[in-house]
Amino acid sequence: MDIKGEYHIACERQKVWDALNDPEMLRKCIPGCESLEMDAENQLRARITAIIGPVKSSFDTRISLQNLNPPESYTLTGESKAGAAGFGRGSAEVQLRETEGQTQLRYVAKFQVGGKLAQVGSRLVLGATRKMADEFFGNFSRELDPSALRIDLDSSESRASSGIPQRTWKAAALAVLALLIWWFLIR
Amino acid sequence: MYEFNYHRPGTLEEAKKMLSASEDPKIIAGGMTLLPTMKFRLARPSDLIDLGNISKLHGIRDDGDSLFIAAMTIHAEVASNELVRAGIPALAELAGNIGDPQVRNRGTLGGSIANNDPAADYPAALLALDAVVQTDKRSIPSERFLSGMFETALQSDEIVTGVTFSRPKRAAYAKFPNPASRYAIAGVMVAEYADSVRVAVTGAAACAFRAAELEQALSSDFSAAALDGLEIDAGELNSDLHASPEYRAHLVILLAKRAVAAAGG
Ligand SMILES: Cc1cc2nc3c(=O)[nH]c(=O)nc-3n(C[C@H](O)[C@H](O)[C@H](O)COP(=O)(O)OP(=O)(O)OC[C@H]3O[C@@H](n4cnc5c(N)ncnc54)[C@H](O)[C@@H]3O)c2cc1C
Repeated sequence: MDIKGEYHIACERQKVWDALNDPEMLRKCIPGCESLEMDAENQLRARITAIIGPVKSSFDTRISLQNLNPPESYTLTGESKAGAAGFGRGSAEVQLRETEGQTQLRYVAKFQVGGKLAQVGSRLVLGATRKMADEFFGNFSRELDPSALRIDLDSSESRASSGIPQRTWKAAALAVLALLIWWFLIR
Repeated sequence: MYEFNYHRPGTLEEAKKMLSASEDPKIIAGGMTLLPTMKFRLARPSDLIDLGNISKLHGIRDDGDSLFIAAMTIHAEVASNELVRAGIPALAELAGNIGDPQVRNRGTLGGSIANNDPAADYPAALLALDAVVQTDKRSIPSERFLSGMFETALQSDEIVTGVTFSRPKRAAYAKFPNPASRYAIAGVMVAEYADSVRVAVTGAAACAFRAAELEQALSSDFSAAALDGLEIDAGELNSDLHASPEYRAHLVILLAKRAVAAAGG
């Protein structure tokens, strides 16, 4: 299932594009990101700390910028390995549209777990991906425009009726990876 | 294991001081969840603050309309305690079916709810028994306390001191356990009060939740038959190697019926 979102940022498109390609900006906006370094062109290495329940763990993540089409769109991809247990991979397609000096930022995010991890908790992964994407793009948009507006496009949201509480995910999608390893080991 | 400092304070005040003085502290109760997490290197606290010696955190008290169970009370004690067995037998039964004897003799009420594992049993009891979580700072209604998957309203330096459970007219808990760990693949607690029926589900979603439709049906007719034809939306339920969302949705209704029958409805 895809996770979608849209922000309206009172800023020129070129400025938003530059920010999307600025490692320091990305570091500030990725939840739990401690450090981020440019490895090669369009290749970044990030250290992210995930806190969820009893788990507090740091991960090295490779982030790459792909399908570059300046100043309109690119794909942000992150991958983490969890040893023998498997891997997690997240990606977000980002699109910028300019309207009257403002920029419309749209994203479609996915998160995938593979290996043995894939056997556990896909629901948990979806919720965490949504949270991760919301936090990252929310941080990013507000960094450029403190009053940036979020437009909800996620049609897959259908809770209300079941009474299941809205998830208030503080942790990043990678936290879920830590959690899945944990679940996988104990059950 | 790697190095860490171990503290065993005798009072809550001392524990709080240690929490604020340490670099990256973690409270330890029975260690049933925390120690394996540390062994897997998924947590590396600098200081462990053991609550075992704080007498205020032990004990069970009957307050008439409610039962107070202190945070460090182990599951085995909740299962066998006379006040619980007489006051809220469903709660004693729930505690007696947590994990295995080793887990029940180390694991605590405070540790279980602070952890808020989506498959743990106590969160269902918190919601069904209209519980209020007491901490060193405040009282938190259970619905606000259980805020998400492995997430609670607790601040990082806040200590759970105990839980106040409202005494129902009748109640029962039914779970479909994972055969290895006994964690709930799904678990349902129903509780009937003078003016309402509460139904809480654990194991099925990212966090325990109340099932409003089941509560409505049981409020007008407290019988298993009243749940015939009702369905739970599988859309938000967990999917893992143990069960699909659809299977969990089915289990919730089935377990709710079993719980109602066990409560004498
Ligand atoms: C093999 C196995 C099977 C299990 N089966 C089940 C089952 O069937 N059903 C079920 O519900 N549970 C089950 N559990 C969980 C168990 O019941 C414990 O409740 C749980 O592991 C918490 O353990 P603990 O009380 O020792 O807390 P700890 O592991 O010591 O602590 C857990 C977390 O809570 C925090 N904490 C502890 N006490 C407090 C406090 N007073 N205030 C604030 N924070 C606190 C700690 O800092 C830590 O983050 C199982 C566990 C194991 C290992």
